[in-house]
Amino acid sequence: MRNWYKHFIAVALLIIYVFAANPLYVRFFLKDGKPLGTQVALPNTSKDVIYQLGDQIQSLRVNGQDLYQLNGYAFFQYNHEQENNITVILSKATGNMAFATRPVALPNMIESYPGYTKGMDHAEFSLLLSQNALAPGTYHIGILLQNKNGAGQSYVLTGGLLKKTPNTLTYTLTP
Amino acid sequence: MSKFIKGLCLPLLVAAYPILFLYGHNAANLEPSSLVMPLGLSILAAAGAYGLFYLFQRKAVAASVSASLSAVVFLIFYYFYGTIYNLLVSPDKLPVYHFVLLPVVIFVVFYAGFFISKIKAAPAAGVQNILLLFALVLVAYNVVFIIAPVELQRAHVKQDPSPVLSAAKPPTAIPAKTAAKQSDVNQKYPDIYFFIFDEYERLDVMQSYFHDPDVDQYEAFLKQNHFYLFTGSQVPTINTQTEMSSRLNLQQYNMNSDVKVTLAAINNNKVMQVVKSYGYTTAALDMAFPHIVADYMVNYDPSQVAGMAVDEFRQTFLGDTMFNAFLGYFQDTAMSEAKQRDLIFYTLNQATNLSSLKSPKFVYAHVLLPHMPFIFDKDGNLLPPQDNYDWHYYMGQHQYTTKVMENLITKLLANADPSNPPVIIVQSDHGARNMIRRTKDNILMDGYLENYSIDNAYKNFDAMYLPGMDQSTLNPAMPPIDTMILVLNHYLNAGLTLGPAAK
Repeated sequence: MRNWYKHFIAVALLIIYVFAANPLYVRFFLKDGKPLGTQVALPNTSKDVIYQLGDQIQSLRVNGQDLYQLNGYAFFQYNHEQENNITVILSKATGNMAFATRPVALPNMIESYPGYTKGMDHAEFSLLLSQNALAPGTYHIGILLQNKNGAGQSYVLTGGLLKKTPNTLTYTLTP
Repeated sequence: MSKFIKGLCLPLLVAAYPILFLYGHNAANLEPSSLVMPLGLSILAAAGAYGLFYLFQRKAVAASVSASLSAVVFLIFYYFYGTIYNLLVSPDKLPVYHFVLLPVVIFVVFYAGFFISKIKAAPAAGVQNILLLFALVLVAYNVVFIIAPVELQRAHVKQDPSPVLSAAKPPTAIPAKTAAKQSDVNQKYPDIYFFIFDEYERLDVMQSYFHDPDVDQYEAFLKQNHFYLFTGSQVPTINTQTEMSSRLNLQQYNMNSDVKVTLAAINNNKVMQVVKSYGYTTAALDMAFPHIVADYMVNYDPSQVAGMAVDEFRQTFLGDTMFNAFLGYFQDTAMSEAKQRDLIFYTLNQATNLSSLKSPKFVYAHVLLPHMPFIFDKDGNLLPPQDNYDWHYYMGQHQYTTKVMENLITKLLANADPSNPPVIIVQSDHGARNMIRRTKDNILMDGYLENYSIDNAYKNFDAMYLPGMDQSTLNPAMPPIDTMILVLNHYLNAGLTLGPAAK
């Protein structure tokens, strides 16, 4: 009887592992592509932000992690060269998640902006996303701009959509 | 000790069998070195599993027997891991992660081993002996199967000229080397460039199905440069090996032809022999069949081209076994793309920079473009890896291939001797086949073209620069198998008869 009890514990541990593995992986092992926070308080949407998102997400492996990358740029309409913290907000009916972005080493997407100047390079960003960190559902992509050197923030909801199913992540960009 | 060794034999043989089977059925197209990694890893996995089970079950009555059978169970899961993963992922109902699935599978295997260790020694030993016998027979059969084609090819090379062709009598009258006319000795034959762009769709399909806006411009470019476009060109098969063995040997092979025979026919082809008999220097640059016998040949190192398109054997192994879980560590897609791109341009650059070769020269180049993987967009930028096997990106790669062709033609014509211009043949083996593929994670992709008729795949591109030939005599629906007959008869006065497809 004692022996069977061991087997019961082994199976129970396996079941616990099956359900807990991914949250534990995201919490303790995943370094990139996970949200900074959830249920972020957002300002009203603004028309002062000029932005562009890439037309596709790219899968890539970073430090052993399978991630997706989405590039874009965003800046204030009346202050092109102001340095901002750019945060991407993924929102769905049940709440939102904030993802930090990182600057792009060799910005080229922003060069397509008609009023481009060299001082705007920092407006181009790269977002890393891990499938593991997203629950299934459809997410609207928003961009939150916060002045790096002072007060003021703006939020804009883009036409980008991320659809997460249990095993896939697809991105669509509507005009 | 002997029992331990006997117990080890069974898992080693079971580990070797699927690899040898897969290799044996593709041996004609694979390098022996392709076998090393899959076989080595599988044998190590089998030995490791056996060792672990032996350690865990050392107190069992027949530890070596139960460890041996347990290791076989492990190997079954080892080889079917990719399939299991795919079966779970495809319905997309539950999230499937390797870091969850792999431990679950190992747990199941461990328990299977536990139950096997409870089987009585005599029946377990009986099962082991039966399995050992089966495994021995299967492995031995496959080893013979592998050795046979290798020997056949070696024999073929040694006994040339062309025993394969003499066995299957060609319908064309091939002039022997000695038959070259004396009066032809001083004749100035043109260089002949024969380019195959793999899977390049015929232009009318690009217009009607893909709505490619660049088709008119490309047709105008060809016309402006005096190329004749065979607008009705069609192929009887959509298999590259069959097609190229046919075109290079002036006789039609079909899908029932032995792959060993067609491969040998490509490597020692009749066209090369004919032009050689007329004093040509031959050059072969073939990304798919790298062992064509020629004066100048690029021997593609299998490790160079292992990245994406060619070494599907290795990909199949990695995708199907437990190594599927570690696929990311075995391949860097971005690096593979760059490698593929570099090989394509290396091939084209080499083919157009053969001035050191004595003229007249016959240059045959087979480029895996716009063949999958789809790595280029229409401007030649590298695509994201997730697009590499999605047929919706075929058009972009086709458009870029068109630009590559234009550059190629421009370069060849610019370097041509005006008093003796070259013959330039730019063809595809077949059109777009729209084949269903899997991602690197073995996920069945939906990236194939909707409402695409497979008939389109039989429409191949065929354009030729034929200086001095009256284009009004040409048949726009000439089958590509007659290409070299047309060229060799006109420019070399080779006296070949048209193949049966033309009749």
